[in-house]
Amino acid sequence: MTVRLTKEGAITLVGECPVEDAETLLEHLQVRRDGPVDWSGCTRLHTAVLQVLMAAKPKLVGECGDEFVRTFAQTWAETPTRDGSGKEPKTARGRKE
Amino acid sequence: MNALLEQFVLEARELVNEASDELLALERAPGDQHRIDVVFRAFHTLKGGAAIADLPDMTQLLHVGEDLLSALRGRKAVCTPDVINALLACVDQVGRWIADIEATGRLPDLAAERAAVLAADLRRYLPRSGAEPAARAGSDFDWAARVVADHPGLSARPDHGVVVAIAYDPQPNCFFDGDDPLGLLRKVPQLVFLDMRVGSPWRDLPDVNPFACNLAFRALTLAPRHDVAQVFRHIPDQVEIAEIAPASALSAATQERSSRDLARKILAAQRDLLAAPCRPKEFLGRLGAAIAVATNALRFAGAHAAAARIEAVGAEATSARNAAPVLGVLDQLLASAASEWPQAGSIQDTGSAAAPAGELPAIRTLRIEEAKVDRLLDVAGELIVAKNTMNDLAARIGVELGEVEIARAVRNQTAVIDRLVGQTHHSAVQLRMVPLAQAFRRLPRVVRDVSHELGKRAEISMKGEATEADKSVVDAIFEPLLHVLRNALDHGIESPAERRSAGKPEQAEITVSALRHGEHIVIELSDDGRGIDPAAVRRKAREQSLIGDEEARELSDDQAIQLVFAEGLSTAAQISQVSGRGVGLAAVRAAVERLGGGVGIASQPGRGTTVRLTLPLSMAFMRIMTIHAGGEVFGVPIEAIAETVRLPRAQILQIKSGEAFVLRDRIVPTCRLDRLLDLPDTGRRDRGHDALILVTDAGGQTAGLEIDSIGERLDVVVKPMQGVLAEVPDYAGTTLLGNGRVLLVLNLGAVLQ
Repeated sequence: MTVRLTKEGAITLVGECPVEDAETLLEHLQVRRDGPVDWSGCTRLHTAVLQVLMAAKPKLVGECGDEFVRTFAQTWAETPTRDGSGKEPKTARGRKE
Repeated sequence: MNALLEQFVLEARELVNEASDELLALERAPGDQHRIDVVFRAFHTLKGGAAIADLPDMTQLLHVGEDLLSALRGRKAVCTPDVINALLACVDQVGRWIADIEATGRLPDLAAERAAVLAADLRRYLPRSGAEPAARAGSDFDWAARVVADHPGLSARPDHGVVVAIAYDPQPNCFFDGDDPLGLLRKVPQLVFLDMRVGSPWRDLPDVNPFACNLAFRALTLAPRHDVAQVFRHIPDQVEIAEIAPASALSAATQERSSRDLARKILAAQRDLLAAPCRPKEFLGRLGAAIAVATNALRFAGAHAAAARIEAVGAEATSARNAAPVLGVLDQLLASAASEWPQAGSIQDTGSAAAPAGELPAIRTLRIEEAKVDRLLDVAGELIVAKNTMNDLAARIGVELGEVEIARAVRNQTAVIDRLVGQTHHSAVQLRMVPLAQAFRRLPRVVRDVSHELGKRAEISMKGEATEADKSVVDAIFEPLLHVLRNALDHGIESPAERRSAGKPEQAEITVSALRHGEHIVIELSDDGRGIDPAAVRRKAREQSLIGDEEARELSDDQAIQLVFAEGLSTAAQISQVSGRGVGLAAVRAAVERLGGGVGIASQPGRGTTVRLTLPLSMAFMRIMTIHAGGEVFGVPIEAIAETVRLPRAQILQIKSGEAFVLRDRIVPTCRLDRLLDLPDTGRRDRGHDALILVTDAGGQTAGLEIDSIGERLDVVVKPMQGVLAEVPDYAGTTLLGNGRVLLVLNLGAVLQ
């Protein structure tokens, strides 16, 4: 299971998130509209999963673990958010067009 | 509509016509490389225009059409009738969109879908290969040029000549095909830029479909194009790949606005186009296209003064039939940095071939709103009316005041004013004159389509299409002409087999010609088909009780075939023994008469038929005669009157319920205008006056109209009836008399119906 719920109620994405995860993630986000979603542990996001994040725009925790997404595909998540676990927020380094 | 769009609409129509004409010609000579070039250029210019006018759907469609033409050019695809049909469908669609844009200022709602369908059809004929067609500096990748311009770092790598742009629009169901768009993009080597675009706005979470891809991607890479194509090889329909420009040029371009970069490319293309050898026949067309495109590109880049400059030297070049002045300015612009292009205000001129500094050559053409010309025409018309009263005044000065000298002076002066007013009116009328070619040029397409449909072979040739007439006449003549042409193709022209056995070439010849005849234009449409059998028309007219037995006998052959214009006579199956869609020639006659013209037909059985349409050069100006009937005054167009006859009442014969009289050994039916118009009887005939009869051919056959008296002859400006009255066919329009009264002008053809 790559989409998990922590005891604190946060959604975490771990490892390679395949297309099926999109639906699971969407179901979780319907319950917890704002997340937070910790995506620092994921190594590879499927487009469908990323798309759900773009649609829901939850609070994102940490820096995306998928380097490709971090480099090229997170302009939509530009605004840094404060996470639920008290970690320092990190600025997304998306390219600005 | 913004100015760019307006400009595009004007030019696009000509280009659409050109492409359509050339495609038809291409169908007859499929290997003609030169024609392929012409069509290709038309598509290319249209596409450029559509991109500048910001019409992405149209641009996309034209882009695919251009690819196909490019393949035809490179002999990578074969020019079959199917290919021509697909390209014509594309041109037709663009033509319809232009009309939509003109009417509503935008493309219709389903344009994207329509473009996709047509583009898919065009793509079927494209050669299948891994490599995408060569990309051109085009609209589809404008975004890429902008990104490159905004990111100086992108072109910092000297080892690569070009930046490769990727436009990837995954299908919504691509996840089900096992595609992961981001996964594919991860495989693109040396990716330097990625933009994700959201298709339709995100819905609320419960409604989000996680399995429908709602993203599109635009990416730039420094990797060779071939490597990029390799990544997307199994989804070529969802991806477009293009090489943007040499990196060195891009480094320079980063200094400029990206729009200027684009404009520069367009200018360079126009320079190359003009510098390339060209047949003399096409020179002006090519020059015009290049000037128009360059002007638009410069406007697009904000360099308005430079655009005006191109336009100005363009006029000079066009009249001198020499591209040098334009080439000079283009070279000059291309040689200087785009940021130095004159934007507004004074134009510095350092060029050698161009006009001397400070002297702006005259503007070649002026595009004026039709309503403004009409207003001028109205005023000029009223001047004529006002002038008409001067003669009255001169007469009264002479008669009532006895001031003969002053009367003469006034009369002389009136003659001068008369002449000037006439000139003013004439000039205003000239403004509305356009060549008949505007109506004629659509006919070859009709011949092609209809003859295909009917399994016949026909060619059309044209003469005198440069003849000019009022725009409203030219616009209105197409429909009637179309009916006549369809009629000729359907009923006149025989099947190839029939023609063979009659000893004629299988391919029928249709000729449409126009010539000016005084204040009229005469348009003749001739075919070399089977002709019309007068006996059959006579028989048919008799059966349908359009004429009596006696009349049937008396009618000459020529007169008999005129009956094909009569209401109620079917020209279809019964006469020509061909089944098919018969278009009533009566409708043609009605339309032409509504324009103030007339129709005629001549035919030789077995040899062919000629239909002649006579139309006023201008609908605005009409020579009328005033007549009195039932206590009212009416105007009658003089051309509708064959003659006037005064004869003792005793010579009017009662035939059954109607009346008739003998005119040069012919019986002419006659009726009373006051009765036809439901006016009160003034009792003139009871007082034993002679009968006064207007003889007219306006109703399709000779007939008389009894009136009370004849007034004066006048040149008037007839305004068409408006509002609910426009539906009343009896009246051609109204005009204002010198005494301020409104005169109704009769449409005799309709009155006699």
